[in-house]
Amino acid sequence: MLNIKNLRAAIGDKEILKGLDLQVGAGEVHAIMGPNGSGKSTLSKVISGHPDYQVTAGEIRFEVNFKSKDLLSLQPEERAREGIFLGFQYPVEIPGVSNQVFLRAAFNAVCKHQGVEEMSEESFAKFLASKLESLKMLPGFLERGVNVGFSGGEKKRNEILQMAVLSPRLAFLDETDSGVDVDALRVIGQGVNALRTKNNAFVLVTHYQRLLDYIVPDFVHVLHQGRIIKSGGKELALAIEERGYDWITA
Amino acid sequence: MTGSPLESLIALGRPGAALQRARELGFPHRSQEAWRVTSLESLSSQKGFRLAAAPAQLPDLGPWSLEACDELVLVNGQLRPKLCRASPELLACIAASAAPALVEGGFFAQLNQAAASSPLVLEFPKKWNSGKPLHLLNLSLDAGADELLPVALPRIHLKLGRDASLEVMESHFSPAGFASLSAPLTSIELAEGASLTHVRLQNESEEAWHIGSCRTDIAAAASCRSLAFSAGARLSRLDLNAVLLGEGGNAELDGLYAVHGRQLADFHTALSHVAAHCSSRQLVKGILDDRSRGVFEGLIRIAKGAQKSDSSQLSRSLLLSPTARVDTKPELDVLADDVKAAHGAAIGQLDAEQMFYLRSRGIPAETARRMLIHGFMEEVVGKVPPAFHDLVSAAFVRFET
Repeated sequence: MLNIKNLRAAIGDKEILKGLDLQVGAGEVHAIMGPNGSGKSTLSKVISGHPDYQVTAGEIRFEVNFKSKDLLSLQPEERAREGIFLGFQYPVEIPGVSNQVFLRAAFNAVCKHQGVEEMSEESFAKFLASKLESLKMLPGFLERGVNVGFSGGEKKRNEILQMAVLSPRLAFLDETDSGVDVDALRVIGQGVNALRTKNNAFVLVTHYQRLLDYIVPDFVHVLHQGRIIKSGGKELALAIEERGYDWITA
Repeated sequence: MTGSPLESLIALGRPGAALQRARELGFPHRSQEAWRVTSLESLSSQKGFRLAAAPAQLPDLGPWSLEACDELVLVNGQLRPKLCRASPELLACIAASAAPALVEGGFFAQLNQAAASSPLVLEFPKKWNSGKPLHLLNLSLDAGADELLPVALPRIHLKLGRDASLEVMESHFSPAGFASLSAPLTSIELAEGASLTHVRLQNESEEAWHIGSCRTDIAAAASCRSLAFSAGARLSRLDLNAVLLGEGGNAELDGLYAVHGRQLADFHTALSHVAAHCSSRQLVKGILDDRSRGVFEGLIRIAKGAQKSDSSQLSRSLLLSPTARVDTKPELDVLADDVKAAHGAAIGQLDAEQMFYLRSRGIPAETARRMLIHGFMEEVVGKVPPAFHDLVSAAFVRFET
C-alpha cells in the first residue's frame, strides 16, 4: 500500500530524514518509535504534504485500487482524498468554524473525489451521531469551534472522530497518545481497533509502549537520526519500554 | 470659503450654534489628529453639494427589509410613514420632541445637527420590552445625476427608559452605482437598568461616502451591546462614542469591517468610564483585500473617580493581499489607580497551520481559505441577534464565496 524508498527531507537547511525506507501493507498496523528529534513527526508531515518540509531525495508510492501513485506530486488535499489521514500531534484550533461544518466539508470533499454520493445533511447528522457515541463524545461538541477550548484528550479524540468520519486507507497517527489520560487512551484505542479492516492500514508514531497495549502492532520500527535502524514485532516495543533506545542506537 | 464647493456643504445647515461649531471645526483635514490617517480629498474635491432628493419612484425595499421586525424606513434621512411597518405600540414611541443638541462631535455631526429638519426621536417607556426587534432602515436614494453630490443627513435619537430593553438594527444602504454622501448622526440614552443591543450595518454603494457618528450615554446598571459592521462605501468613517455614567454599567463595542478594491474603512471609537464599577469590552476586526485600507483608533478613557473599572480591548486585522494596508492605534488613558485595563492589537494573514489542517482533511485550498475568513468574521457576526443575522451576513458574502 505504502512504499517509501530512500526518503530524504529537510526543513529549511536542516536535513531531518536521511534515507528512510518503509513498506506498509493493507491490513497492517505499524508502530514507529524513536527518541526525541529522530524525525518521527517530520515523517508524518511529509506523508501528508506539509508545505514547510522539502523532500530532497527518494520517493513515496501509494497504491490505491491496484494503481500506484506518486504521493509527493499530490497536494495535501489530494492526498487526503486518496485516503491518507494524518492524526496531528498538536491539532489546530480554528475559531468560528464549527466542528460540524468542518467535518461535513471534509467528508463531502473526500466523497466527491472517490465517486461516492454525498450524504444529505440529515443522514450526515445521524452518521456523525453514531461516530460520536462510539468515541464517548457529547453531541454539543459538534457546535463548538474546531478544537477551540478543547482539552488535550478532547483534541485527540477529535482527531479519531475525523478519522472515523473520513475512513482513510492509511492513517498516520502522530503521537496521538501524548497529553492524553488513560481513559481517553482506551477510547482512542477502541476507536482505532473498530476501524481496522483488511483493506486499510495504520501507522502509530509514538514515544511510548502504552498506546500499543490498546492497539497491537504487527510491526515495530525504531527511527533514529532520520532512518529506520531496526524493525521487529511487538516484542521490540516491550524491549524498548524496558531498556530504552541506547542498546539499539549505540 | 464663500462660493467654494465646501461652502455649498456648509450651506446645507441652518444658521445656529451647530453650524457655528461646524465652521469652527472646519472640513476634516489630515492636519487634524482625528483625521491624521484618512484623507477626505476625494470628497472635498467634489464640485459641490446639495441635499439628497428622493426619486419619484422608490425601488423595491425587499432586499433590505426584515419581515420579522418592526421596521421604520428613512429615505435620505426623512421618515417615510408609508414605507414603515410597525406595531401601534412602537409607533407610539415616536416622539415629537427635538433631538438633544450634541456639543461634542466632529464637523459632520455638527453639520448634521444644523441641517436635520426632522430628526427621528424614539422614546421607549420604562420596562419596555416588546420582544420584537426593531429595524431602522436608512436608504440613500439619489443617483446624483448632476454635478452636485447628494447629501443625506439622517438624525436618530433613541431613549430607553428605566429597565427598558430593546434590540435594534440601524442599517444604511444605497443602491449599487449611486454616488452620494451619507452622514448620519445617532444618539442614544440609556436610563438605569436599560439594556440595548444596537447593531449598526453600513453597506452603501461602493461609489458612496459614509461618515457616521453615534454617541451612547449609559446610566447605572444599564448595558449597551453595540455591533458595528462596515462593508460598503468607497470611503467610510464611523465615530462611536460611549460613556459609562453610572455604577454597574456595561458597554460592549464590537466591530467588523471588510474592504476590497480601493475601499477605505475608518473606525474610531472612544469609550469613557466616568463612573466606578463599570465594565467594557471591545473586539474590532478588519479584513482587507486588494489595495484597500483600514483604520482603527480606539481610545479607552478611565476617569479619576472610575475605580474598579474593568476594560478590555482587542483589535485583529486580517490582510488578504500584500497591497492592503491597516493602521491601528489602541489608546489607553487611565487616571484611576484601581482598575483592570487590557488591550492588544494583532495584524496578520491567514494562518498557514490552519490552512494545512483543513487541506489535510481533503478540503480544497480555496474552500479552506473561505472557511477561515468566515471563521474570522464569525467571532463578531455570531453575536448578531437572529432577526438581523441574515442581512449582516449578506453584506459580507463577497468574502466567503
